[in-house]
Amino acid sequence: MMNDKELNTLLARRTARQPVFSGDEEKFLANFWTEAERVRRFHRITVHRLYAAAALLLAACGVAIALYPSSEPPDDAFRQLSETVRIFGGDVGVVFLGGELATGERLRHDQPENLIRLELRKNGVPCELLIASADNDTVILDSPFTKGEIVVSRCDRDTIVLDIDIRFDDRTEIRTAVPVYSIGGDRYTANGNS
Amino acid sequence: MTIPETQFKTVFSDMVREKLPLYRSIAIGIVNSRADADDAVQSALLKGWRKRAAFKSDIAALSGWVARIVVSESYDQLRRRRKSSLMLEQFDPDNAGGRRDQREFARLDAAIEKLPELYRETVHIALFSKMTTNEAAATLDCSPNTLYQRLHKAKTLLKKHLRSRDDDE
Repeated sequence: MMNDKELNTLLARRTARQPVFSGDEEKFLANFWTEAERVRRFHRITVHRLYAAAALLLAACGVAIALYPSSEPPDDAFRQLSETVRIFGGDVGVVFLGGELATGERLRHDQPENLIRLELRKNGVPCELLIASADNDTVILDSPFTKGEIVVSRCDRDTIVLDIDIRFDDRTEIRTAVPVYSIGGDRYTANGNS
Repeated sequence: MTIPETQFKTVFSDMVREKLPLYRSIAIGIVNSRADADDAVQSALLKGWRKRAAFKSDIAALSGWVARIVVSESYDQLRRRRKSSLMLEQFDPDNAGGRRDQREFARLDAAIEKLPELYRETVHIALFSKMTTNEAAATLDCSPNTLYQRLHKAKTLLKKHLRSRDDDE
């Protein structure tokens, strides 16, 4: 049976025998950036295809909503958000900014169970933000026109805080922290009213 | 302070240049193959690059996070290689120490592989990569005191795993 001293000796011998690996760092770096660019292109093509598929489905949704108007218009935004999440899957961060879809990455991979709607101000103009997230989640936006991140932190059963840091066209910035309140089920708004 | 996107590629490249020997050393200690070690490091760095937005204000946190991902990617690489039945010999048999050392190290490595991820990365980063306590603690994003506690727990678990293998044999 191994005692502390024997284990420490074995670990020390293993540390001394740790293989050394020195190679061409610049060549590695060049290969890395080539691979990063290949992955980026692949990701962009995949996202564009998903975007096109989602746009078609959302258009179909829109036609359905127009044909069968709901008595509760605010629900449409949540319905549109949850339908988009269903189409894109859990790995994609889904955000609508001023009615425009912006996709990104989520740091969590479970289902984004919170549907959040709030109003921000972009250059003084009201701009609706819709986001689907899990509790304590981060959505990283890296589309050509919208970059940044939204950190979602749960405070208590009914309250979530969004830490928003978004840049549009690398110029306009929205930086703010906003609490949102449950309005029932998985839906949240800034004032707790739908 | 958040690093602008235009400068981040340079900052990231500098970090890779500085930390590449460490990342490679961690990876080759697990996979024992230069090609697989570089694959594991590249995969970890790609993850780091894709998550860069979350670390733009703290490049040191990003480099520590990548080091931990290198450990898990290396074990994934090792598992893939075992699946494709291309397992290579552990360590260089021509090196000093001979077959007894090889057997002991193979048993130790198998025991380390069984550790929970937190303790496994602690052993590879804090013990095998020969960093100072403060450097290892910073890389693992914990205090030196927490690092000592994790190492103590890792060693306790290692003894348990090695003991159970003794019993099996």
